[in-house]
Amino acid sequence: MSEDEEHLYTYFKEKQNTDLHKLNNFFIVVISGNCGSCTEKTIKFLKQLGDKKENKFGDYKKIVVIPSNNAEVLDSIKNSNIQFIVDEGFELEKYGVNFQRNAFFEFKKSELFYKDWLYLDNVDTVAKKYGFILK
Amino acid sequence: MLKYPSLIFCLIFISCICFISCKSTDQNKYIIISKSAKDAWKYEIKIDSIQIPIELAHSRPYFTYTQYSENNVDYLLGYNPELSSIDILDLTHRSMYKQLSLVGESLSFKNLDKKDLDKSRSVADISIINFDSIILNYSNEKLIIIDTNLRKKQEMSMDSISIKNNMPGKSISYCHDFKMFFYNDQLVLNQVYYDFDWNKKKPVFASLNINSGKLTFLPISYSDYLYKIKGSAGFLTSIVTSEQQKQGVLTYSYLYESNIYQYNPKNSTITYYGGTPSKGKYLADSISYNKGEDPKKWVTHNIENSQFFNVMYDKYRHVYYRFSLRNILQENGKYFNSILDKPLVLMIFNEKFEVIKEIELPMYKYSPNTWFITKEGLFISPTHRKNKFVDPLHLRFDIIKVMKSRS
Repeated sequence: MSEDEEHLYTYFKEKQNTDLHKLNNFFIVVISGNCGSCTEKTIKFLKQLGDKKENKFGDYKKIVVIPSNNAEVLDSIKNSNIQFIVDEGFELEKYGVNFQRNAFFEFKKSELFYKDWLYLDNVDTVAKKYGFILK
Repeated sequence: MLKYPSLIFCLIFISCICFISCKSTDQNKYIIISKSAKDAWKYEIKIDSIQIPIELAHSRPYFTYTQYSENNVDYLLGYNPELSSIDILDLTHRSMYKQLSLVGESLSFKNLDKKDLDKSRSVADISIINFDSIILNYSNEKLIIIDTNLRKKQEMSMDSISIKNNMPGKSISYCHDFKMFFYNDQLVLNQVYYDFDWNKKKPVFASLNINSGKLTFLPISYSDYLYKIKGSAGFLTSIVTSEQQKQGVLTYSYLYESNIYQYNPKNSTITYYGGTPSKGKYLADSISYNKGEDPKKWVTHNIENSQFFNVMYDKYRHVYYRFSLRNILQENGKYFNSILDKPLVLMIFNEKFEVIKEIELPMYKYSPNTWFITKEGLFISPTHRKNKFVDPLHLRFDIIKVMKSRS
């Protein structure tokens, strides 16, 4: 297990009472508290990923973790099937989940399958990989 | 089995000694150790608190701000990203004086980011000559001068300032590190270069005559240590300045080292002084970075090195203040520390930069970067991101008051 995976598993277990080992397929996006323009683009991607009418990843659980200073993401994405977690007490860093950029993780059968940064033009690249075109 | 265990042990031991002595040599070479003032015992510290009623919508601390005094009244002008306004607080009468909304076509501020995370849509810095001339740095793209009636008095493109003056690079400022400030009636900005050569010293202070648009370089560059490590100080590679300057000299320092520097324009000399705290590192380690690497190691570097903030002159008490965040280890048992866990230390110096006081402030109480001086004392904002006791209906400040007894 990579360091990032280990930190995410511990954070979810201790702070969210969620055992990620018990989930099958899932996406986790960790929004950074640093970059506004990247977050704008990330929101466009999340709107498509979490669209209830979209069946492409219907069997995936979608989780987005947001630091409280960037919680406007919540207001921007309504009526989606994404589970949002607001990190109110800046606890993420305590668990080593400390990213300078928005981070994207895909887990298949509880194992990390793909990881990338949702950063500038890379958001388009990640979106394209999953069959979404950002407008 | 190892064939020569003692030899291998000796080699490791020698390598460790070389590593430690190299670091200590850097410290001996580049850092001046601070001295205590003989009359330090005469100084006393008192902390008072004030509160200013506010509305819920602007309950955040001001990260971008300037302090101004007129007719014996002290004001704080702070950028409020949530409302896209400049809030003018009357500190003397503990009230909101005015709110200047930056929304509207005429002022040229486009689509300001309400979370203030996107620095390309933000007010990066504020300075003031008087209420007729408030200078706003819009994302280091434009300097926009407004008055309190929201009339735009002047607008200058920051890209064009250097070009018009045939100077290389660009002049910029950020409130939290190189804060723009007026010095000898000129606006001092940070000159940055698109292609920095660490083998050649370059001026990094530029003073702008805002009436004529003329830009002049001051003979100040990064310190020798940053040149030695070729700029590899991670997030700490910044110059820090204050608008609270002693007349006749210009005081500045660097985030990555404890020394304090003073430029005297009369004889073009730079004098440097010791500003070492009693605990922690005095000099940031160098950190390499290759394009495409996970920037996480810069975060570790930021946590595990001290960060020295700007040096502010208190003209009322003739002392200097300088805050710093002391280095800690990132790993904390099975958990991790973040920059929010670094202890905040205040050092107070006399005019010869001898230490009068060194205070370690309570953990998780004060917000780094929101501090300024009025005749009442040193204001500091108790709005640390982990401080759970933030009153949403009042803007609170603690005021650190330094007093010298006559005996």
